[in-house]
Amino acid sequence: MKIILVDDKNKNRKAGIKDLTAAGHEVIAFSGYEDAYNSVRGGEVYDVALLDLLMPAEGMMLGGESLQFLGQPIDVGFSLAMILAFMGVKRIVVATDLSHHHHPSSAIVDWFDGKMIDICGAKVRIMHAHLSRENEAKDFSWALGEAMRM
Amino acid sequence: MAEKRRVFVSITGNEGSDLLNKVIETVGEMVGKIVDNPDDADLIIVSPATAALRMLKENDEAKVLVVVFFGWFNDSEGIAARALRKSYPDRVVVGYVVSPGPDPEDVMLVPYILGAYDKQVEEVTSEDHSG
Repeated sequence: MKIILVDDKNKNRKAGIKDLTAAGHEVIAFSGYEDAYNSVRGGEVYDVALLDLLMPAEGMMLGGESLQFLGQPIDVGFSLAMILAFMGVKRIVVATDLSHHHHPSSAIVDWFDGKMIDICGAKVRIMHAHLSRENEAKDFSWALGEAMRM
Repeated sequence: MAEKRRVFVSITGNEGSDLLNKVIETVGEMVGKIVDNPDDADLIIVSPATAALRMLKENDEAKVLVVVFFGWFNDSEGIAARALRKSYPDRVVVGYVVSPGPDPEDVMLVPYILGAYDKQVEEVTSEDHSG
């Protein structure tokens, strides 16, 4: 399968690329939502999207005083899941490794955890991530399994 | 510690960027060893701020010195750099080089910035950012 993986942490991306590639998948990884969006808008077709929830705000469309938000963590995983579904990705998992005791957006994930949502014909799950025991990186193999269970 | 620090330098988007890169690399060699890959660095010296955000995501551990050139303190570049400092308080420090143009002498202020940076590093915590 061709997988788009979006996570701002290098540790998570590296682990995801390593594990999923070893399992025979093609993985295109991005550190931010603007590059991911541009990839799909540019015509790349993906079978599965594996997304982080909280990522730093990028410079896209920001100017002047609004640049004060650059780098602030925003729960863009919700929006990215919706736009990728709208653009044709059929299976999407948004997985956060942040404890629901530490960030309100992660606490909101409790509303969705374990439930499949249909968005524009795409199967979407928003959930808390499993971490690798080896290095505490996000376990994207597990996330892909959750995507394929839908 | 200073001899072992690995430094990556990336100055783009300005007239004279190539020259500034070379000069700041020279400065970087004063405090560490220049490396070719941001993923291998302990310290990343970068401008502009939007490029700094990308570097912060390419390397989860390195400290990042965002250099703001040529009196852009109150311009969008200064706003963006301070935003990154606020977003990544344990990893980012902003250095201002207030001068009118890309002259090598301008960036000789960078050692002073690095001095401030070292002080900052001693004070920082390792609290993680992002989810």
